[in-house]
Amino acid sequence: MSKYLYLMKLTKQIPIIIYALLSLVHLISIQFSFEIGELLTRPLLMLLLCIYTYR
Amino acid sequence: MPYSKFKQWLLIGALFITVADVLLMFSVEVPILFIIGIGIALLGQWYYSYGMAQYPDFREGLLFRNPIWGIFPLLYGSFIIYVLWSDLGEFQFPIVLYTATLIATVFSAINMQGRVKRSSAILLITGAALYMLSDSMLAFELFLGEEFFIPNPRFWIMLTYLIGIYLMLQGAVNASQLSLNVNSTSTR
Repeated sequence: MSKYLYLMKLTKQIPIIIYALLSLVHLISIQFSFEIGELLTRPLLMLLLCIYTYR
Repeated sequence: MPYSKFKQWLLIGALFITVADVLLMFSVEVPILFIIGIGIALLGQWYYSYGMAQYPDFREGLLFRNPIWGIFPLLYGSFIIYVLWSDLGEFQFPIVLYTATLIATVFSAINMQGRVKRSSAILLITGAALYMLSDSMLAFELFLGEEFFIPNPRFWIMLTYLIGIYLMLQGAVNASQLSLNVNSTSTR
């Protein structure tokens, strides 16, 4: 039961884990002037946050 | 206002800011998108402030009880305008308006202390403060150009922005979840 609850808790955190990873990609793209990386990740980041808040 | 509405207002604010973000990304190629983007971001900020101001027990908030706490965002907002004023040109009015809205958002976040759990209030206040810091750095970079001395400013702008907006929304999620729990236990 506790394992199940732990998995449930972890599943809920998936959007925020992806947000953290995408943020890292975004910041690395800025650091290395990789414009496409920046342009692609920025709207995705905000959409992820919206999904996370909405759920 | 029902507690769950609070999260909805902040979510609408985040959606507006998402649209503004996308528009601002192309503002170098199409300059009119800068003003449109700023306008939409302003609406997003307004929803943030409104959501927090409409949260129950407004008069129990820290800022309402002790307005001295408002001095920090006011001072920083004045500093932004003071530094930028001579370089703003035709953007004086929109930037002053935007700064005032940023100050209002931080005011609203400070006033959440005492109305929600302390940890949620800290998330909201830190998030709003980082958001203000990020937007001010963006304005410094845009209007001061090379006079703005920090290495790789875009990195710091985005770092503070990404953390700030996450903290604000996480604070809103925590505050509304707690309120829902309180509601469900009180009806039993």
